[in-house]
Amino acid sequence: MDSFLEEEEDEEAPAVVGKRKRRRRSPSAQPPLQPPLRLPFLPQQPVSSNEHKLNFRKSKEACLSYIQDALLQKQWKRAAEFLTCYVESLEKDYSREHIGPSEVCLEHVFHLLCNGQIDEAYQNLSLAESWRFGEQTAIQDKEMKLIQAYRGLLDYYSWSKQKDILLEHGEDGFSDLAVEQEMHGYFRKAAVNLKEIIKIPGVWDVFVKCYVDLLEFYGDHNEARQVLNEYAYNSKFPANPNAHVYLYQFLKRQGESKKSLISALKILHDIVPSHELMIDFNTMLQKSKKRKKRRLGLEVIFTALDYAGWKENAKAWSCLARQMKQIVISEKHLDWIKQEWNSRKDWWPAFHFSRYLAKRNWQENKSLSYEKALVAGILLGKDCKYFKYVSHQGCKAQLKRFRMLKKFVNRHSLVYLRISGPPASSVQP
Amino acid sequence: MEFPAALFPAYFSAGPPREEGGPAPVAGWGEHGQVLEGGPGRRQVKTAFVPRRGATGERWEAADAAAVPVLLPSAGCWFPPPALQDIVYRSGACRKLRVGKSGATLDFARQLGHFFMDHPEDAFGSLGRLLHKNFYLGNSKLKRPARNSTIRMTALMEDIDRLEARRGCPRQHLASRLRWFSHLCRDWLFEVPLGLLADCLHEELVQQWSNLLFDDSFTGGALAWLPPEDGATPVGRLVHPGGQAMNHLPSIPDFQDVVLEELPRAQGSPQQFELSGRIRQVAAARVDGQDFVGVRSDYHCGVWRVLGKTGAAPAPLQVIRTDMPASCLTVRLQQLRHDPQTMFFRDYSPWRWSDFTAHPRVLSFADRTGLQCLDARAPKRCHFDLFKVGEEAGCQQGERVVLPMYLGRAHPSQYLVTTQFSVYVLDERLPLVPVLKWAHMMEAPPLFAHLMPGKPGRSHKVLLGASRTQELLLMQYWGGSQSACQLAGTPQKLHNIAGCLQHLPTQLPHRHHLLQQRLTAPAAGLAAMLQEDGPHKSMLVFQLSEIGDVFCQRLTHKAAQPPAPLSRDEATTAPGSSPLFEGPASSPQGLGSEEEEEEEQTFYLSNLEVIVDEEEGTPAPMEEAELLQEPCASPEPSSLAVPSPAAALRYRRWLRAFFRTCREPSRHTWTPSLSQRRLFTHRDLEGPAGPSSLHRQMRQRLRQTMQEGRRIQRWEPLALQPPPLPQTLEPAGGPDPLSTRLTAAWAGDWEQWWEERTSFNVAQRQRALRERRRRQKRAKGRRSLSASFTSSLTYQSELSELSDVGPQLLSPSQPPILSQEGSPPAGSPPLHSLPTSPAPDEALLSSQSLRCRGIPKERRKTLRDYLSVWAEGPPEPPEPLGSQASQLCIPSSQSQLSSASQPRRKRPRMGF
Repeated sequence: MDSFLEEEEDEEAPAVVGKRKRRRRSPSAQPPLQPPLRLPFLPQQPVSSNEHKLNFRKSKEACLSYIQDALLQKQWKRAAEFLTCYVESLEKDYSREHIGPSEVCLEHVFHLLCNGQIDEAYQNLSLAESWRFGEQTAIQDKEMKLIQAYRGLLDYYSWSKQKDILLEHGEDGFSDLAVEQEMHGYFRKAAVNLKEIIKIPGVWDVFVKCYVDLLEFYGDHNEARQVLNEYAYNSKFPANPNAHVYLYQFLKRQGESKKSLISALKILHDIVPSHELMIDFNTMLQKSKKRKKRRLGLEVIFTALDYAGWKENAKAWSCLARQMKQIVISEKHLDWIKQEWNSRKDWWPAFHFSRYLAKRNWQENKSLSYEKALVAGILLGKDCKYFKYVSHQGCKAQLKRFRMLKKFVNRHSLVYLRISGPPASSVQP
Repeated sequence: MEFPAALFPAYFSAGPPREEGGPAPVAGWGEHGQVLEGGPGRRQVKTAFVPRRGATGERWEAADAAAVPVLLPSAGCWFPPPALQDIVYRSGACRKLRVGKSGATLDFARQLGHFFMDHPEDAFGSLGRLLHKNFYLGNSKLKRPARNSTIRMTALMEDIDRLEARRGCPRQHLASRLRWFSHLCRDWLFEVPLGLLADCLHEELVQQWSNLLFDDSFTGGALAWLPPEDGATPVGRLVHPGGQAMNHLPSIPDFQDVVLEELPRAQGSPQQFELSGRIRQVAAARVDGQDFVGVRSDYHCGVWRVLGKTGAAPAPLQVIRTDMPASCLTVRLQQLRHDPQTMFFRDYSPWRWSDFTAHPRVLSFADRTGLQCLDARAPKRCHFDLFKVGEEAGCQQGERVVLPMYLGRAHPSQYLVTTQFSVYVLDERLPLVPVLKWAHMMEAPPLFAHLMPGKPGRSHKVLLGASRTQELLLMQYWGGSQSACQLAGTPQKLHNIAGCLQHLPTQLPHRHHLLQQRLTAPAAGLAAMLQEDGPHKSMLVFQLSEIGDVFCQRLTHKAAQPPAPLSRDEATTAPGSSPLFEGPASSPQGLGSEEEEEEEQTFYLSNLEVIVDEEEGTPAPMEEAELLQEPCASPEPSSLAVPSPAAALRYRRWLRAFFRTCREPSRHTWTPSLSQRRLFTHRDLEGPAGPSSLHRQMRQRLRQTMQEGRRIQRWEPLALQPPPLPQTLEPAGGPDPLSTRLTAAWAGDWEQWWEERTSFNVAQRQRALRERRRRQKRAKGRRSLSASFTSSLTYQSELSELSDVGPQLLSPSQPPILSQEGSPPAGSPPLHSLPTSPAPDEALLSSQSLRCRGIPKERRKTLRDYLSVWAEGPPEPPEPLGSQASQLCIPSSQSQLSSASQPRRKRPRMGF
């Protein structure tokens, strides 16, 4: 990590030598005053003795900055002119660090792909793959891997097209051997390339999905599971929620047991408690017979609703309302609610149950306000602003649902005291 | 809260940034980054791909040629921030030139002097007490025994008092007693430890120096926009620091109502709160329909609640004091973390930042090395790293976090992090891996950012602003829920404050310098808002400078063609005016508030004639014109665009107010004035009422020598008569036009010279002259009756009686100019030998004064014409004999009578 500190040392460039020298001359009593932030437009390359090279670079940088300026102001023609100069100067420049041809190729391929020229892109990729140039740097190596992966991806798309044709024809009871052959060919090419890239740490959602699809089609479920597990649980990979989602979906497709599904989602819950699958997770847990799981379900939905993104999610609120209603009616496990509520009672009222929100929710989404009012009524009692406003409006609008809600909350008004009351004695004998 | 089903492919590795990584050769331009299968039709015939960068974004175009001021410059002086030259060593002479004029005063001796004056107790307290017995301040004489150990200070005190009275006088040092005393005591009398002081000073200088390179105290920006509550009323509020010297004095946050018209204008007087410190940051948040404004200065933070109604006074809620300068402000205040060290690796910067996240109890915490999310309920236990300067995000070496910002209004789990090289968009749900990265290529690190969330299906707009260079960059992105994040469109540069300099009318050099200094002051904040009015969408961008100027610009959304009017009232008023404005640079202008501005506007347009012609006459597309104009390498884009009339009017008003504000202090600092009364006795002043003839003669010589470009070697008045001038009476032989013009300008008569030059018609000139005289007469109506006396021919005899300085009239010498006019010096009689004295005063030509003299009406004109022709004199005296005549008939001894008007009246005579 100390390498961060040394970077200033080796970078002196004549263009700003005056400035920097002066700064450096300034004093020994440096300690509290930090080396200033390195700014982008101070040269970043080490000094070179070659005068020509430096002048050249200066003019090149100036040209580049003109281009940039023109581009930023959307003066395309002006930019194009500068660009011509720039390209000319680049051609004469032997000193410059080269852009890898693979990088150029990739960009070109992206361009073609975005314009729908898939075949041309494929040709380019195949061509680039066969290139060999000098010694490969690490970056070039990575780019080559990407080129192969994208080729694999395109192979996969061809494969899936063939597969669709085949399936269509298969329904007619007619199978084309050549098409099938071709399809298997695509499979092999795709699989080889895709398999390579997903071994390297990274975000490979597209590649993983395609690869798993291929494997599943050919029935190699073990390999698929292994790939997905690796993608989700290898600590060298970033904590990508999608990795867990893919695993969960795979398990679901495989008809795995509830237990393994739950454990997959539990991990997702631990990394991204605000993930949209938490609703599924909660539903699954609520249905469980085990007390512990139902307890977890309550925690999951409470935690999800902590996040601003869930504030107006009617589905999540109905999940919570349903589970709380169950608990209140059965009068068992009120302590679960109490525990969850303890860490939230100082901020949920303002965050979820303000009068302002009551008004807005009522205007925008009646069923959301119904669910929220139920939760608010249970947690905060019938005097809570949110509940009062919504039930009042509901009764005024002669909605039966809301009248029932009012009745329910009134009947269980004692629950509120037990949930929010400080001594645990009434709850836990 | 959905998570994109698939993200763009990316490598991931941990560790410090790679060595070889540098900015991409094309700096991010035109790159697609990666592609992803996109679009809802997954199983369609053709697979569609979308790029991570380079998707088409919305088109926004500036509605005007430059940013326009929103507020008039505040009254009072302003100190430009210290510049490079103030800190680095310069020679004494150079420094002297600068100090006291413009620029920050880093004159240490003077500041120490201020300190002694302001804190005498600290500076001299204990020694003062020690020496208390030995200094006697009374008036009576000291007695014998006491005299051994006590000094009587009364005289010294008197000297000091006198010094006080003469403050500003360059001759202060003449008080020898004081000098003696200070010489004796200066080493030991004050108790400021010099070593310590030097250290502090040094530290301060280093701090200033690093601030010059990069000043992060304004991170976040000190400008906030509170949108109208219901969106219906077009009145929002701008919160910005104001006040006089934003550098040092208490500054004031203004809550200013701003009416959103075509060009937003301020309404009513701002509500002000005075704070005891320079405002560094202003943050605003809307919670449950109520606006809260947080203000950060170095050692205080405060929160206000702003009531929705316009014009209602905001209510202060809480103020917090900090021991260390605060570097960040969000509306919640709680100790999250206490750690003098940075998080991920060692960095010296004491800068810290905090912001909200998607979870109300989780806050982000940042330093230069990265960003962490901490649960405020248990900050030590529950946290995760959101962003790290390192290989994870593909950072460069030396890259540092400059500004983190929660993008909650666009997407609840998104975060923006800017560094000096790149912009990152992060998603809390996928920490460490930026979902979007783009090299912004700004010259200075973006210290300010502003988010304008887009409605579903539209892009989110992020404005980035730099401080020192005032850069403003607009970038767009979308995604985060159903689809992965994508950068949309190419980033776009917006006008900055300094950019309007080229559209302002040409100024005199020193004014231009002032203006430039003012307009190029570092930016201190930015705010923006989207305005939707049916199909017409526009964006208002406000930029604040460190000095307190707020400029704004409007961008219009170019989707519908042709560009349509922007605001409601305008749709009815200005549909027909479009042909005039169809040039690409100017979209239709709302001249909503023109009622009272009509007059000024036309006046201004007459100043801008050429430009206006261009606008109307050549509606050529800008690009074409540009192509013609600049062949290749002009660094500045020459924008042919001109500001709209409404903007031009704004500039004019702003300029007027600006020069009014900066004139006052300069007058004081530039010319120390001395009171004559203190310098001279009454008798001294009584002396000769006008300059002696010797005086005049010398002056004459001086002028002449200057005219000839020679030197005066000796001042003996009579010894050396200058050789007769080679000039003849013909105008052709006169000084060349340039020098006459310069001399005219020097003497302040440039205007007249110009008139003369343009109209050779004598009659016309006479008319003009008369006109001018009449005006001048009106200006100084009280001017001497005696002067007009003397102008009359008939009162010559009285003249000698009036002038009690008779002998001096008999000037023995002849001014050289006379000799050239052909009158021999010695030949003229004494009384008439005064043609050197200036032309008759303007006042004496007025009909009133002529009537006083009893001159019949019909003769007045003749006389006037006669006199005025005479007054013309050189450069091309039309009637050579005029001078002769004037010698004879004009006694003009008024020079002796009123010395004050002397030099001025001389001018025309001298041919200047």
